[in-house]
Amino acid sequence: MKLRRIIACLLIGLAVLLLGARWVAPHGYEQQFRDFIAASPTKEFPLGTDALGRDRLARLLYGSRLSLLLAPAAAAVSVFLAALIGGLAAFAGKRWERAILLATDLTLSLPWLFLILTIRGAMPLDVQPEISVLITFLVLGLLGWAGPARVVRAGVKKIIASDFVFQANAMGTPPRRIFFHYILPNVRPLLFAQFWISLPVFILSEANLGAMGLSVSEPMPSWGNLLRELESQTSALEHPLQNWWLLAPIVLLVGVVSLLQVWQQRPKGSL
Amino acid sequence: MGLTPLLSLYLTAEYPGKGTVLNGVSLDVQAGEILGLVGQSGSGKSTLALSILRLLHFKGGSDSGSILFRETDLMKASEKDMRKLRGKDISLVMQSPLASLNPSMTVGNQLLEAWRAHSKLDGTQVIMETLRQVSLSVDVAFLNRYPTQLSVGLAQRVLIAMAVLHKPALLLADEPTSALDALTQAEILELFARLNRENATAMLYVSHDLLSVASLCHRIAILHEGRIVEQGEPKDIFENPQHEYTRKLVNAVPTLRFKSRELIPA
Repeated sequence: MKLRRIIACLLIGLAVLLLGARWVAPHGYEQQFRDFIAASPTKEFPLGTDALGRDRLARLLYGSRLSLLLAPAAAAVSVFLAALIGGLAAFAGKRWERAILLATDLTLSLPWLFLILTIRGAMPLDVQPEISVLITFLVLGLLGWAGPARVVRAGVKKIIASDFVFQANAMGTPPRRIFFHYILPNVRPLLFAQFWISLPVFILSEANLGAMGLSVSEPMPSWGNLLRELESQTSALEHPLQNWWLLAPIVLLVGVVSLLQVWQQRPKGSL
Repeated sequence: MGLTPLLSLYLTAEYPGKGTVLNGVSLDVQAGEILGLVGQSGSGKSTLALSILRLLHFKGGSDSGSILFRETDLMKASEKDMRKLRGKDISLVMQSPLASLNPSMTVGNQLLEAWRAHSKLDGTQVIMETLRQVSLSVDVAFLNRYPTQLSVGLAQRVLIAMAVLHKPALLLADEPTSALDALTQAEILELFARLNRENATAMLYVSHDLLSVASLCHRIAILHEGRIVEQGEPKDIFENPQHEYTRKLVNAVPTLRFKSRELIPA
């Protein structure tokens, strides 16, 4: 899979670039240059400046870093919850299983975006930027468990009923060993797959929330609030080619999510 | 005969929804003997094997009766005692070798796992000996393979090695050759015969294939509609079947329509 390797290199390169934002970015993300309000690209500001005179490139780098660090964290939280809840459903007997499945179905049938909107909307809008970051991604992570939990439950049940677990029992293997050596290692690929599947979803969710002003709050940049800024640029965007630098956040977002999706297309048959 | 049998059971077993599968089956296995249990698919042969290990609840079944193994009733044994017994005194070889191996563990580690289930000592020496006994390679490259990298025949040998690691007194073989091709099947049958000779392991060999059972077993028991309808030595079963069902089974055994000599051109 040559394509996958190229994509992995691109993503890793981007990650290194973003982690080094402090050295790569020409300016700080909140530094204002009052003499250069909404400027076009120059040597000093490769992507121009925004309406408050802040360097767009710096904001894009820091914003991408935030989104790309926290989306995996949110995905990890939701997959961890899914493992616990799905695992419990598979192990804890019929009654628990039915209750958990009901809860899962309910959660899945809720209108996701509106739910997040409600929760985020209930929080004060003038919270500290750092706390808004935490709230945004924690809410995403806590609400994303239902889908993966169903997959985990089905997977664990299949493993429990498998011939090799039965064989382990027939060899007199103690239950603790069966759990840690026979069940857990075979659930792991499933959890990884769920993590990678939910990652782009969380990136996009944050962007959606941000576009409605309910994500990370100013002055801290994220893909969400960088996209929101485009809302006030409608006149400029009527000529996108002349104002290409404004589109950089969208291009990067679409690019990264697409790369992640293509990277996930594994060869047939492997998990 | 006349000695106390190694295993002596009287069993009734049922599944919810499916009804009674075993209806007062009575069987004895002598120490060092290979007993073949023959019956058609769904006659409850596997149920019997699982019941002896007290693992039937895993498949949703329930059983009653008595299972005397070395004069203790396993029906009354605690789960803790049963776990000590499984794989050490009575072990099981199942019919789908590749599915019976843990896909995320190397062959070597699975053997170690089988060893550690019943011993805290270093098992390397015993594992090597057992691998040689079942004609498997002892080199590191083989031991580092994962089950997906094994053929069905090799996987079955690995499972058999795991089953005989602790030199059990009784080996339950549940259709161990039904997933194998004819040549591998012959090799595995030969291996069972050898293990029986060298380790004096008694076997309950469950199969629907009367011919392979006849070639391996000292005695054959025919299971039909939840009961043992006939038992005897292979010769008697083939030459003088008493029960209607046994006669049907014997007549159903395929025979060559020509003398084997005709295969060789004159």
